[in-house]
Amino acid sequence: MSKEQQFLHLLQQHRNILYKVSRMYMDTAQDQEDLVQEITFQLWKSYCAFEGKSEFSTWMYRVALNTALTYFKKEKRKVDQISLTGAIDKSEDDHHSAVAEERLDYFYKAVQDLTKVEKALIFLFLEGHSHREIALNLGISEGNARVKLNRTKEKLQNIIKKNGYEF
Amino acid sequence: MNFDEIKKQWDQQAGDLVQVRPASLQKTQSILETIRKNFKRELIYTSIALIFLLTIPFYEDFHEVIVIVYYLIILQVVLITISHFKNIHRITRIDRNPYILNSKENLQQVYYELKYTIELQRRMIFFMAPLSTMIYFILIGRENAMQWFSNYYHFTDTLDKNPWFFVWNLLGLATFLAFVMYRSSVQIEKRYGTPLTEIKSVLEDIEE
Repeated sequence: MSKEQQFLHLLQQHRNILYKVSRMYMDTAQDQEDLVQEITFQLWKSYCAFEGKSEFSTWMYRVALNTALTYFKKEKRKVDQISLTGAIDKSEDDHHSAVAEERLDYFYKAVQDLTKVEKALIFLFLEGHSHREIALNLGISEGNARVKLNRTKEKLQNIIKKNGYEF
Repeated sequence: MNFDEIKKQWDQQAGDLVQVRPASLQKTQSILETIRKNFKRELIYTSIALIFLLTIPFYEDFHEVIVIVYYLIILQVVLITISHFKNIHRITRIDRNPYILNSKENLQQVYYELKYTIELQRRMIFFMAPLSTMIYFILIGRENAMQWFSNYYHFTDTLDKNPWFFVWNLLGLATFLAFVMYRSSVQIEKRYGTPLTEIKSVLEDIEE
């Protein structure tokens, strides 16, 4: 297996990270696709330096977030509100799943009102990172990470309340 | 909002809709890659412009002294341009690895690389201002260029006989310089200004 194939295989296994980061940072399908492409490019570019000392996913989190934080979406693009999830056909029988999906949609919509750093905090928190790991990833102190995360969670709750959706 | 509920659903996201394409390994839109692309484009345009400037004395009827002065100016332009492109090239050669750096360090590096590029571009405008003045005299003045130089050389005489010469000439020069500098500044701002402001804002957000 060539290095490129090996890389694409690993990426395929961890594509949920690409999906989550792109949905956190971009609100339209086209912008999400562009961000996925940009992260993929940056991952491939630095893949040679990845020595396997850490988990592939750990490495991927860092590159993906660093790319998202310095990425700017194209201007003057025709707004297409359909996100990557828009393509999913929801079965009527699967009511529970539909409610869960809707809840997640509201969450992603509310997240769009957060700053780039706040999005990173929430992302790492939901991925199960500890305050220490969040601090290490972002380059801030552990105390600062805790304070920032609490403030961001509060802000997110207020946005969701303001948008008229409570869960 | 219950974050535990959200987390449960968050973990269930499979990302099946994400298409990992081999073509994605070649394409990029990042600001540092844009600098690289712009660098190549600027290098081509500048080379074409310099070739054009070098040929002007062949089909314009310049005084021989003016031709020498003209080529000396062009030589300066070439030397400054080489130095400028060498500096930009140095930035584009920096091999960044977003894995090694944490987010704050990565942002700081992108910010300072971008800021350095902008400063280099701005400095280039100011370097070019005196040279633009000479080019104004030679290209706008054309067959009168020698007379214009002479008028400035015999300043008091010209002031007595034709004071309006200075008014119109300096007004023309000021307009020419203002246009060149304004256009260049707008171009720099358009290319790098907005990303720099946005990165600065993210950096402030992470630092506070």
